[in-house]
Amino acid sequence: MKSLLLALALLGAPVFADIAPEPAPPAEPTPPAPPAPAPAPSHPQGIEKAMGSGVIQGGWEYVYAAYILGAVGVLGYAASLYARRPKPSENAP
Amino acid sequence: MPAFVPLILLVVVLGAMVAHVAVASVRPWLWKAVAALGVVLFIGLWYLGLFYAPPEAFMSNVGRILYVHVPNIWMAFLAFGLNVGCAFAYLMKKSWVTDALAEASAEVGILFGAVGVAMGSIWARPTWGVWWDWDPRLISTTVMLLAYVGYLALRSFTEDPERRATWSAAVGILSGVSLPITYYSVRWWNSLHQVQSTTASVDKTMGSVLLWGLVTLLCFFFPFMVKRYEIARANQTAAMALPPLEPRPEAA
Repeated sequence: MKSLLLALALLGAPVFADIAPEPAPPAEPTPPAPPAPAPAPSHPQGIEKAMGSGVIQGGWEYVYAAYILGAVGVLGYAASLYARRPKPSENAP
Repeated sequence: MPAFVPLILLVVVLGAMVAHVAVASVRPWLWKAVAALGVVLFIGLWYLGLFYAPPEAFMSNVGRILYVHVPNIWMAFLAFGLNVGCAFAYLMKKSWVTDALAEASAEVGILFGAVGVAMGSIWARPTWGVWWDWDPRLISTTVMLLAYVGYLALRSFTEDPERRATWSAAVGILSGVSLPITYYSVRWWNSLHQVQSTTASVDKTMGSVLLWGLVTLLCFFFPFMVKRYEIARANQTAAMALPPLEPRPEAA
């Protein structure tokens, strides 16, 4: 009897082969890897120096730009006043 | 630099401005002397602002922009305040002198205000991280400048001189409302822009350089006003000298 059941199972396997197999369970998305921890700030003089002093560093290009803008503004307006100056004939009473 | 040096220069420049108004004989040359002094002081301002003044505690060298930014804004307030005064004076007693002064002060104020705002934007980039921030001080200053641009636009669109003077005087007074709003905006609202400093809160060296910048720009403010006033008076004279329009000939 057992042999008969085994034979039936072996013979019936191809019959059920065309039935769509159970879909494989969806693969769970792998969780993103946790970001690597930021390296601890290092500075030869200690962590306080590594964190910065809160003072703006550099910035000279902005300073020069502002001073040059001031000069250009003054010179440009002076030139415009000179160009628009009233002509002597316009000053006649 | 001793602190009294810019103070003495300030007294000299203010005295020259009073002399220009009061003494007619000095008018042809006094503005030239003040302008020449302004050029010398401007060179000095470059040295003082870029090298002599110490770096600010938190802004470091970027704080040197304040020595040109703040005086420009002060000149704008001075010019617009003069415009409001001339507007009131014209409405009380019509005079082409006050009308010409009002026109000159509006244009000069727009110059210094626009340059000051641009300098402030340059300063804001490294300190605030942005070129522009819609905070109360910046908005109110922009509104103030645009109001006076509109003032000049109104003057250019109005052909009749007397109507132009009256209308622009009214607009000038309305635009003047923006002056105290702009000045007190940093106190009335939460503004990223810092509140006004006082003599007690500013380092003496920095204060003296700031005063030097004020005197320098005053030396340019005065000749700009003189020349722009002359242009305005010439335009008035030309407008009133125009012949009346010919009436259309009647059909025979």
